[in-house]
Amino acid sequence: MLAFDRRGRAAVALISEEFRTGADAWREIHGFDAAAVYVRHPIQPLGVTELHGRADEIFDEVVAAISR
Amino acid sequence: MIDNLVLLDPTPERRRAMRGRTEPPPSLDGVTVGLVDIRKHQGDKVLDRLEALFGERGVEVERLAKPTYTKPAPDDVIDRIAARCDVVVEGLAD
Amino acid sequence: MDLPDDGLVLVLKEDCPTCRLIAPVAADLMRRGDLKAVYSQDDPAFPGGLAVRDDRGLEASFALNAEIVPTLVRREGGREKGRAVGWRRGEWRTLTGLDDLGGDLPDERPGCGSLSAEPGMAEELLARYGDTGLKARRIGVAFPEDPFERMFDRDWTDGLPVVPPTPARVLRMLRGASRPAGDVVGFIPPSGHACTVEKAAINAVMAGCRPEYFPVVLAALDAALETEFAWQGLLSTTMGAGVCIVVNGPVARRIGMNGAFNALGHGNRANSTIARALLLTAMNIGGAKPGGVDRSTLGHPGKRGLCFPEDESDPAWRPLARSRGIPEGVSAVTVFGFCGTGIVNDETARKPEGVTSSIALSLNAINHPRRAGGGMGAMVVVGGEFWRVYREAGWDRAGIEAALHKATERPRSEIRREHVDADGGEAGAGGDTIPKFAPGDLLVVRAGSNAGLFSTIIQGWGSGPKGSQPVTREVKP
Repeated sequence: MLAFDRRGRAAVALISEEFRTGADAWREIHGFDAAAVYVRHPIQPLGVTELHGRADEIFDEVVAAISR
Repeated sequence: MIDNLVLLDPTPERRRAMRGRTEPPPSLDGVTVGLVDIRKHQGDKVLDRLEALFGERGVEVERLAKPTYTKPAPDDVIDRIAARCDVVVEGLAD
Repeated sequence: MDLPDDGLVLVLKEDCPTCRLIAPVAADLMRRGDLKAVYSQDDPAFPGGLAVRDDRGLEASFALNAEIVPTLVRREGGREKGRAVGWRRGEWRTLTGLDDLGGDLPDERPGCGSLSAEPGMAEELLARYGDTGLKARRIGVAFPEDPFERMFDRDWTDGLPVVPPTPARVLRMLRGASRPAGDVVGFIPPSGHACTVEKAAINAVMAGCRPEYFPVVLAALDAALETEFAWQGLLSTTMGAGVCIVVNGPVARRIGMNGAFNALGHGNRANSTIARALLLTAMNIGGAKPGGVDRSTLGHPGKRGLCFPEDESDPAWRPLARSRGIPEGVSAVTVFGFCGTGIVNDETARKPEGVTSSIALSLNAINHPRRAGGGMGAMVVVGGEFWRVYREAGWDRAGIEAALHKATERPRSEIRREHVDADGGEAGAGGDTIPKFAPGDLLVVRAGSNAGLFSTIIQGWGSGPKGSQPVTREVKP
């Protein structure tokens, strides 16, 4: 995330909702207010259709994160 | 007299000041979105669908990938990705 | 402290027969010589009848660098011009200019050890009165605060108490290795903050290491910081990974490590604290805190760190480090990312093929029994009696390793397609079997006592170029 930002590329990370505290800790130790969109948990055991559903759920937020 | 004990700090002793992120472009018109797969199991399928959704809205998409989620990507890989897109969507961390 | 700049100064202690012997000489020197100050290290009333300065804090003894008492020093303009150590009449007469001094005493008597020269005192006094050169922030703990509680409050621990990193302890730790305190060991993931040798020493003190372990800690840090080890991934993975350190070479015996009974368990200080030093470094400098960047779903007891020496006592066994390119007689560490241990029990084992089969069946279960094709590693710790079975049949490390690779091949039909790792799957393409492990992903080591038909499997994390690869580094003094 930081590496892309340093190159002038606004970036957003897709992160499991379960990792919200991890993302906060990451921001703290790296001193970088990284943008994130949180995806509903679980993810690993889902089938393709369900995973596409997860993408549908977050798409608007992703667009908002990478444009003003 | 009882001496006070002195301890040496085992931490880096500095909290990094919180830095804001690069301002994103005003809209996605003419912007290339880099969909970067960090190579965690299943993440590619979510990115597949996002690619389709961007496509429906006429937004240019580049599919890119880091070598592995287990370690930071080398600088040259980041350079290559950054050269091919204007904004980055990276995932999926779980 | 008001050390006189000119004249004679004397350091002594009551608990020293030679000091008691020369007490009248001190009184004589006060009367007619230029003795300006007498410092007593223990009893400020000794020698009686003199204006003695209390040096129980040993500040003057430190400033005068007294190694023996009595020590008589002549100073001029704040500098030392000469000294006499112990009692030698001739030397004392020369130094004082009094050629009849101590006429009724024996010619000479050796002195006693100065309290400022007791083991560990040098660092204590340097920390108190000198310039340590240490850069870390100093945090005072005021009496009657409990330093152990303060360290928990500051979130400096792994959940167990840590040793207070006082400047003296850190100085002693630094003297255990030859690397300068200011050198940067590396950038500790996940935060990427720099870790100096001094910061590593602070965390090693807290982990409970003795100074002589410090070169092993530094070598393990060097190894863990190599890109191919993927320490960042190990520290943050949901799978819950720790660092296993195998120590080879003479250093293991020198620092008293245990490779026999309970080698992988508790009870030995070096075994217990070296890997803990890495964990504390990762937590305190790298910021790897459970529930924060450390996303371990369950974790495992070995996440505290596992460190043991390989049993190199049997010349028929080629030690791990040698098989990984380290010359004979050179000490080395090998770091291996791991997700727990499990025992292989085969009390009926008589033949090497049977032992191999027992280990292989257990190896096939790691991660998932229907998963193969590489992408995960394992270390097999061959116990004493399993090794006896192998050795009697003429097997060696390479033979065992090759046999285990062969015996862990799985029928393709038993492996879930989605569990064939993208990297390793090709290896078995077309055949009826798929290897469980990719080449190089199985490590075989020797440890444990000689009674008990057991071996231990240390389950790896993701392996290969996309995961964590074992790294071996020489231990430098």
